[in-house]
Amino acid sequence: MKLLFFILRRLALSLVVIVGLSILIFVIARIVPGDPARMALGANAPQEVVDRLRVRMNLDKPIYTQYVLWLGGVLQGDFGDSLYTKRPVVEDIAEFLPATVELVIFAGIIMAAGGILLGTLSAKYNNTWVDTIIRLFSYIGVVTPAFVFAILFMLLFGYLWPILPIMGRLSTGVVEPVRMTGMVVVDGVLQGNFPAAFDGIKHMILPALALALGGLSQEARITRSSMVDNLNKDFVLAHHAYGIPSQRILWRYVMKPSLIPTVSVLGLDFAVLFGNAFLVEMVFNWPGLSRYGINVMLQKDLNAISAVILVLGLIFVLTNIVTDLIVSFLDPRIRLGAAKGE
Amino acid sequence: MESWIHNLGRSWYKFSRNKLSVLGFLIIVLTILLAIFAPLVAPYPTHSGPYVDLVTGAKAPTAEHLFGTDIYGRDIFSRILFALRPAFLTGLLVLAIVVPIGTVLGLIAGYYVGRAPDTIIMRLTDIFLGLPPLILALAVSSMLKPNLVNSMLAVSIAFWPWYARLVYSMVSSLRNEFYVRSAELVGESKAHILFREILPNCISPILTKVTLDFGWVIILSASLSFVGLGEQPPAPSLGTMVAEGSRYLPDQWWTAVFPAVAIVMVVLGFNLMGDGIRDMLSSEVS
Repeated sequence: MKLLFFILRRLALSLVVIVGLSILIFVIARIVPGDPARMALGANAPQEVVDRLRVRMNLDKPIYTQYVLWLGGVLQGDFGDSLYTKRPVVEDIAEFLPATVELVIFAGIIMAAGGILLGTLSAKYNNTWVDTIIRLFSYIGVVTPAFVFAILFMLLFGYLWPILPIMGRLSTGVVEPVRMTGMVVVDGVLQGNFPAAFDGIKHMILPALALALGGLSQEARITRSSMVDNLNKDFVLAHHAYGIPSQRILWRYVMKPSLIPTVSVLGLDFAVLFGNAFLVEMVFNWPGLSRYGINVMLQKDLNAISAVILVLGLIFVLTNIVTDLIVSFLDPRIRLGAAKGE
Repeated sequence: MESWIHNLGRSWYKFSRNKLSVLGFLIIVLTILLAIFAPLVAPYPTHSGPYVDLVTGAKAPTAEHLFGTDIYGRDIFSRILFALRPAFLTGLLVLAIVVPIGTVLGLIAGYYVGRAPDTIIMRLTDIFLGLPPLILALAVSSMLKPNLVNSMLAVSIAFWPWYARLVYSMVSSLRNEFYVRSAELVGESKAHILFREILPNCISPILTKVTLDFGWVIILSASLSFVGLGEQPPAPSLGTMVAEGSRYLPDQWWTAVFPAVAIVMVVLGFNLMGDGIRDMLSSEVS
């Protein structure tokens, strides 16, 4: 019951964040110097046409009325029309979001699996050459921006040693699966179009790696340090005394408590992938929401920008909630602490 | 005065125990010097701005052009040196804005923990943390004219909440310490309690974070200019240079790779140094 209260409180706080975020985004979109209607129509449009658009965009009303009208529309799934693609923003998002989600999930899997594996190996072979190499690798991974990885991978595996595709989502000649979820690999598998699914995965490897490496390195470092801490604890010694095999101690008993800090950061990093996708999609010409986001930003397309940011904000907030729940599942202190009402 | 020097010497001794931190320190000192003296050091100082010489355009690295030239014939090495200047300037100014703002807000919220100022400030912080920093910075800079000052503003908006949250978490636990209680009993002013009693005990983590963030601020502003929302060409900027160079892959790989390596080196330097400072300060506490 108390746990339910903990979850409800968490959700209520997130609601505050989301409402606040919608205000923040609205304010950001209205601080633009200049008249959005004039910008949409260009310098040569007659004044009365601009005035008509101003009325249609509710720009003639006070700012709080504008916000309420905008929010009302948003709640009904109406973000207005994009000035860039000349169609409802919702349609644009529905078209571009799945590609980004697919890429980010793939990158997230690489990040979590790779980071935890490398961190565990590093802790297991603490202070040997394996550890040194992994630590060096993860240090460089943390400080290198995703777009630098993107360009390096493109150069190395796209041109120098061309083993992987570097542009778009599918090779020419591959039959594109009928659009259901919008995720090429998922659609391919669902429709039994395995060549397309396989080709889709091949196209994702380089962009996903470029996206994932930063977070992967961070996860490896965190997993290593928390695992090294835990390996020195008394319960490990006790397990050894009982004669439990070292492998089993490491993978079963040390793993779970060691993953708590990793998972907390993993949640944050997963959301950061959506941010870095803005840079990586641009390099690999990936037709996702982030590339769309950059295009509308460069065009100052207010409706589309607000919608993209709001969608990403929602994803970020949801990810944080899920992360908190997973951590509270892994960490009995938080779970029971919440139950005690602390 | 002498004890101050003595302390500095001791700190340096602890810091220099870790060779990697010293390496980071050297990288940073070297790059800052290169940035400051760019007009003197750069082999082709005029190439920092608009300059076209198509004869020497798109040349691979040679002894004459250490990192090659771009399609306009500009020396990449010279441009990197000049691009370091806005990068460091951004780091310096952004942190000069966000650290005081975040710290003061965090102090106030932490001191009044559980009361109205706490709720207002920290919920506001939560809202700004409701977006990944890169997306928030992109959103703000997309609304403003793309230039160096506005990109600094955008980066600042994305960074202040982290300081507010860091300081808040420390202050909210420190505020019940005996020395704070006694200062309250004696009737010290709120400003005295916040800035003279509590703040000095929060300095170490703030200092560590500032060093590390210097690198992250540089990455974030490079990312903004990479997508075209920061410093505009022909002004030299590391992000813009990588973006422009990436259009001529793979034939002119040097136009993208060297500026990218420069970014990584600078950020690596700040990270190594930040880790060193953290170890140094934490060993001082113990």
